[in-house]
Amino acid sequence: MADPLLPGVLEWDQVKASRTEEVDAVIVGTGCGGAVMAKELAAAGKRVLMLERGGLYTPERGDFDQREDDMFARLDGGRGLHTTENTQVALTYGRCVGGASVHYWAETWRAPKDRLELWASRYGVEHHGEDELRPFFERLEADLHAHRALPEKRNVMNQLFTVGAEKAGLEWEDVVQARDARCIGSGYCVQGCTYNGKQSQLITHLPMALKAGARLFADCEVEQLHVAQGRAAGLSARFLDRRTGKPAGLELEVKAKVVIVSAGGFNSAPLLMRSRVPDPSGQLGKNLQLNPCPQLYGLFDRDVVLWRNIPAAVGSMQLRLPRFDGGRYLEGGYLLYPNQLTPAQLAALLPGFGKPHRALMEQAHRIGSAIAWIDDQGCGQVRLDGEGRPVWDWTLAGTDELIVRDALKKEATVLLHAGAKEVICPDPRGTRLSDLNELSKLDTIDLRPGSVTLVGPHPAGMCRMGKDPATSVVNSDHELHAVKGLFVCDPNVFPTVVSVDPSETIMAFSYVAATRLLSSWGKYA
Amino acid sequence: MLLALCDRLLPGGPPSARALKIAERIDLELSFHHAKLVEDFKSALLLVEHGGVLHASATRFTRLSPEAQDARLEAMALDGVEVERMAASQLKLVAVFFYYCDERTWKGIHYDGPLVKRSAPPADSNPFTERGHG
Repeated sequence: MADPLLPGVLEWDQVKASRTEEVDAVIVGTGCGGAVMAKELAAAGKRVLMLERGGLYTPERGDFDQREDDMFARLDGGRGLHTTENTQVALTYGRCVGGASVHYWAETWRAPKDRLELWASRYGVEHHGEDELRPFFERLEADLHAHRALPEKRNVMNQLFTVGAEKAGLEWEDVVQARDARCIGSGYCVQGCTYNGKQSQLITHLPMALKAGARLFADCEVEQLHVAQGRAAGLSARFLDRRTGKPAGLELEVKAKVVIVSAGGFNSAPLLMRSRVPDPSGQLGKNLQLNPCPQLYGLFDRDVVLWRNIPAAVGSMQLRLPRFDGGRYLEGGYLLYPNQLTPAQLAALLPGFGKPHRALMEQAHRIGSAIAWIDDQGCGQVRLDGEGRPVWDWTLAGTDELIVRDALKKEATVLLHAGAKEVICPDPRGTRLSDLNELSKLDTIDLRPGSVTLVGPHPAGMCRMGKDPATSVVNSDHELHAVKGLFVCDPNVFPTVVSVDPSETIMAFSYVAATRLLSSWGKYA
Repeated sequence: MLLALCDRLLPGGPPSARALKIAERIDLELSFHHAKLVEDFKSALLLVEHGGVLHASATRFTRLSPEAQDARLEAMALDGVEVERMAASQLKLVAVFFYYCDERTWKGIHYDGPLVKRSAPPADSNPFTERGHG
C-alpha cells in the first residue's frame, strides 16, 4: 500500500542545502493540535508549512516493528528517558510526525462540561463552551471512527477489571475508541499502529492537510521564534540528521504572517521561553499539570498477558471528580482503567532488582495491572537550564498525594476482587497485599521522588488561555496576549488538565482556533 | 562500573546481562541524548560506586562482594537520600528495560514477541543493529 504521506513530506536525507521559505502560516509540531490547524488553513487556501522535530515513521515502510526499544527511540520525545527533574514522573510525549497521537491509547473523550464551565467561569475562556465545541466534536468523532469498544476487544485484563469493579461497587463502561476495522487488537498501540487501525494524525488530518496543499518538513527543529515590534514574523530552524538526532549543519529560515506553536504540552512553553517572547503575565511555563498515573500489579493464577489486544477497552469514570468535605479530601479525582504494558515496560516498573525481580518477570504472563489518571490539583512548571534546555519541575504533594493513595486503594480493591492472589506495589520495598484488610498499607508506602515512578501522559497549562492578560498567556483566539500573530494550539492552552484523555479536545480547540483565525485573517495579511 | 551494576541488577540467566551486552547497549543509547542527561547518568553511576560513604562504607562498589553490592543497592533504594533513590531507580529502570527488550529474554517470560518481522533497519532507528547486534 502506498504511504499517503510520503509525497508531501521533506525528510532528513532529502535536504541538501539550507533554505528559506515564505508562507502564510508556519506550524510548529504535527500532533493533534498542529495537524488540524494545518488542514483547516490549507483547505482555506493558505500557504501552510508544518515543521516537525521528529522523523516520519509509517507502517508502509516497516517502521512500526513493535519492538519497544526501536519504537521508543523513534516515537518518544526523550526516547523513553525523560522525566521531571526529581525523576518522580516519566514524561511521555511524541517526537515524530503525528506527535503523541502515534503512540496514544486511542480512547477518545469530549471534554466534560464541568471542565469547560470551570475554564469559562474561573479563567474567562470564551468561544470554547460545550455548544461551540459540539459540532467539532461530532465532526471529529465521525472522522476518527469513534465508537464504544466492542466486547471482543476486551483482553483478559479488561475482563478481570469488569469483574473486580462490579464486586467493588464501581460503575464501568465501554470506552469510546478512535479506531477503525483495521485494528486487530495487537496490543502495540503504544508502539505505533502497524495496521493503520488506530486513528492517529498520520492517517487522518495530516494526509488531509497535505492533500489541501500544506507542506511538511520532518527532522526539523525550531530554535527561535522571531518577534518584531510585538508581532510574530517567522522563525529559525535547523535540520537534524535522523540517524543521530544531532544537527545536520543545514538551516531553515521561515517568514510567515502567522506562527502557530503546537509543539506539545511539554515543549511549546520552552520554545516560547527560549525565544524570549514577552510574558507580562508571568504565567508562561507555569501551571504545569500532567495527569500522573499510579499503577499497581496483580499476580493471578491464570494467564493475563497484559500486552495483547487494545488497552482500556473498559474503564471507570465514576470517581473522576474529587470529593471534599469542607476542605478535607474524601475520595476520587481520577479515572480507573485496566492497564496495558509491554514486557520491557512492565519489567522497568516492577519493584526490586536481581533474582527477586527475575522471579517476578518469569511470571509476567500472569501479571495484571490497574492504572489511574489523577486529575491533579497542584501544579509544576518548566524552566530553562543554562543551555536553554527545558527542566520540568513537578512534585507529588498535598491533595494530589491523597488522591494517588486513594486511587491505589481502588486499584488494589479491583485487582483483589478480580482474583489476584497478591497485589504488588511498585515502591522500593515491593509492598504486597493479599487481602482487602491490608489496604491501609497504601497509606504509608513510599511515594517520594526516586521511590515510585509515575507516568505523566497529558500535560497542560503552561500557556494557559484566559481573558485577563495579567493572568493568562493566550486569549480565547489562542493568540498570545502580548504578541500579535503568534498562536498556541495544543494542550498548553488548557487552564487545567481536562480530566479525561485530551486528544479530542485538543483537536476541537484547534478547529475553534482555525475558524476564528480565518475569520480575522485580514489582520495578518 | 556499568558492567558490575548490570551484573547485580540482572543476575543469573541465561541469558546473562553480559552475554546480551546490556552495558554496551546502554552506552549506545546515551550517545543519542544531550550532554546533561549523559552527565546525570554518569553521576548516578559515580554515586553507586563511591556512595558507600553515606552508609559508613568507603569501599567502592566494584570492589564489594556480590552480596555486599546488593546490600549497597538496596540501601540506596530503601534508605537513601533523595539523590540516591533517584540514582538507584533510574539506573535499574534503564538496565532492566533494555534487558527485556532483547528477544533472547522473551522465552523466559512467556512473551511470544511482535506480530511482525523486524524490517531492515531504517537509516535512523538503531545503529546498534546496523553494527550487527540483535
